[in-house]
Amino acid sequence: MPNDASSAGAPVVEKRLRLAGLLICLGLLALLLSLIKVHPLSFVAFAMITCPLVLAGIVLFLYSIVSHEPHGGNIPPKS
Amino acid sequence: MATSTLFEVLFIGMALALAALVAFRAELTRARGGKILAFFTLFILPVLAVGLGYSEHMQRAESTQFCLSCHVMHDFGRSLYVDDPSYIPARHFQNRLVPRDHACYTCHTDYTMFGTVDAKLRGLRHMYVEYLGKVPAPADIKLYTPFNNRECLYCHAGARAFEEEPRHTKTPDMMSKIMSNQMSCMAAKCHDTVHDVDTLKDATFWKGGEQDAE
Repeated sequence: MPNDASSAGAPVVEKRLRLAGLLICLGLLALLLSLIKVHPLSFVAFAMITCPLVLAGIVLFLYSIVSHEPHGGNIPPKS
Repeated sequence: MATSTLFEVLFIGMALALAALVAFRAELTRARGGKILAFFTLFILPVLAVGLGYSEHMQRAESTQFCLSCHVMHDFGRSLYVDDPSYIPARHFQNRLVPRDHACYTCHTDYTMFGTVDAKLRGLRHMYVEYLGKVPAPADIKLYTPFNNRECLYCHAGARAFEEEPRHTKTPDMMSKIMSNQMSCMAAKCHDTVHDVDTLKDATFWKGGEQDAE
């Protein structure tokens, strides 16, 4: 059973993870579509759509894990 | 579809499916296993998938089909089928002296340490001109710099037919001049019929090899 701190912080992190996953899905879908045809526009689609979407998804994922407070919040300084 | 391409497509499809799983079932990441899954599907697999996609696109950019897909290159592609062996690209293409599916790249890359990178950057410039710039007429397209013998010698140097050709040893220093690029293979009026796209309307064409260029 999850503790209170975990379940309270989860929706924000999960929202970011959802968005990150969605961006990566769209980027990878664009990548698959760009592989259908051998054409310069396919490369343009890869460079202009796939790369920015996947990069944004990865950055959002990394941001979501570093900005997520661990259980119990900050450790108080020793007096 | 080549086996490597099929593998890449399957890998990207799997990465896509797993990313979709995390996107639509984000609550899975509450458990430790879900966190590991998220790390793989939202970081490791997308990086690998984009790397594979990049590699695939770079390989495709070397294909004859890729180069000839721009409208302005159409006549250059036709010049590979001219039924006249004095056309150097046609002679190389039709006799398989260059791989037909990489015909353009084989002659127009630089055989230097960063020649492939230079060729790709030139390709990017061509794409910019094709889609956003002013496209010149095919007959006005010229090389940026005179064709370097190095590119010819990459294959011909050391070949018996090249070294024993009487015209290449007409004078004692001729071969050394060719090897050092002091005497150009093309500009020295020896092999100067290249694509010559402005002469194609009067040319006859070879009918074979169409499927190999793809």
